[in-house]
Amino acid sequence: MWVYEKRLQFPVNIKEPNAKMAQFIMSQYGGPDGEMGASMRYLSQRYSMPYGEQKAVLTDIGTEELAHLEIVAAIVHQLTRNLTAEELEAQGFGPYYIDHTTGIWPQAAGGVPFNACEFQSKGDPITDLFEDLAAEQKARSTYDNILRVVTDPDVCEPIRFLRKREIVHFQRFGETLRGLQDKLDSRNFYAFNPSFDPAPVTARNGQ
Amino acid sequence: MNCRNSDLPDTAMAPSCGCGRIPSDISGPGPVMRPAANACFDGNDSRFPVGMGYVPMQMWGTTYPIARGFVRGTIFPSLDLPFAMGRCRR
Amino acid sequence: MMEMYRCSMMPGMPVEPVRDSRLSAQNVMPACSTCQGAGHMVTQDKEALMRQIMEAGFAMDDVVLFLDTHPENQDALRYYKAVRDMRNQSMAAYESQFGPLRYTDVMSSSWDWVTEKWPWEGGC
Repeated sequence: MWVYEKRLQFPVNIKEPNAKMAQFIMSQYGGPDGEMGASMRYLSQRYSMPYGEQKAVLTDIGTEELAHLEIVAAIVHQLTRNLTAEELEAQGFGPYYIDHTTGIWPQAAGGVPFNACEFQSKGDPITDLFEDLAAEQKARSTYDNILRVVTDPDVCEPIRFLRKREIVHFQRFGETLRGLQDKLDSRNFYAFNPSFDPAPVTARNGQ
Repeated sequence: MNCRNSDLPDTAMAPSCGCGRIPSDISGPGPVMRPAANACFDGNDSRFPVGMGYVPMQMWGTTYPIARGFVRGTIFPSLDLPFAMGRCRR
Repeated sequence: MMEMYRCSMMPGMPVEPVRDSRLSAQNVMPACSTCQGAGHMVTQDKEALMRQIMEAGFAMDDVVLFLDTHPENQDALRYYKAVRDMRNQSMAAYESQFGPLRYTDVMSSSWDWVTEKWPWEGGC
């Protein structure tokens, strides 16, 4: 189960609102490579992992992604705070404002609502871990794209932090995959799905 | 220059990669990469069979002081890989 | 009131004093001479205490992920215990003065879980 600590993992203190930036950054809340997708992906995949190490990594990184979801929401919230409807509209935030005012709602920068098609949970641990490696790179690239257009240091600092975490997570998923490989037969990693099939009987395994 | 091309013929004499393979061309955009000296991470290495992907295991080492690790986003200097193309004022 | 510099370093590493202009020069002393690396995170400043919690808590988060994929690594385990204790001490100091950080830790005579500022609101 989950315990909530009443603090952010990294502080967000933005002095100057900027709804245009908020529109971009909200992709890391509900977009295809954002933190909601990341946390749901890892927390969903963990149930079919065969060994404790993989279950631990998916649980712990999935939990950290929930903390990152909170940081992104705090950024979007503070960037759209204390603005009038006219200012929001002038800064390119009009369509979102019409449907959500300045409430937080998970969608991509382009408007696609968050949905489960933005992640996969294949029930095969090798497949799922490669999905996770790709997910971390996609998130990192998205933060790169944000850093090219953000100039406010109050925004850059938490964004740089979040981007660095993606690199660390990539490394951990890679190590998790190595741990799984060590438990499988390196003559053929794909002989069976350890989450689903019974282990093949090695004596009759001529293929 | 790297030695990833395991499908090149085994005729190369250049010893710089340490595994008998021809170093691959480094043309293309982006910064020049440092060569992986004497690395034989190819199909001859039975520790890493083909048809699978592998990430190297990180080794424990000296960590950043915790105040520095916090602002850098990791306590591990080897994973502190910043983006050079940002436009931040600071 | 004596204010102490936080010991932000791990055992065996050189002392890094905290430079914080909000602490007056007359009544500060380095904590490392007494803490043996475990850190006595005593300060009356709410923001500084929260910073200590975040820093030690983050170091713990990062080493936890390392331990998940390197469960036999004793260096990492030692590091984890040190930063875990720093975080716990900072949290206890904060909660005793400034209110609960978890709803298991409400001590006052009223339900002050609902009254403190929430984390996404940012600084004043």
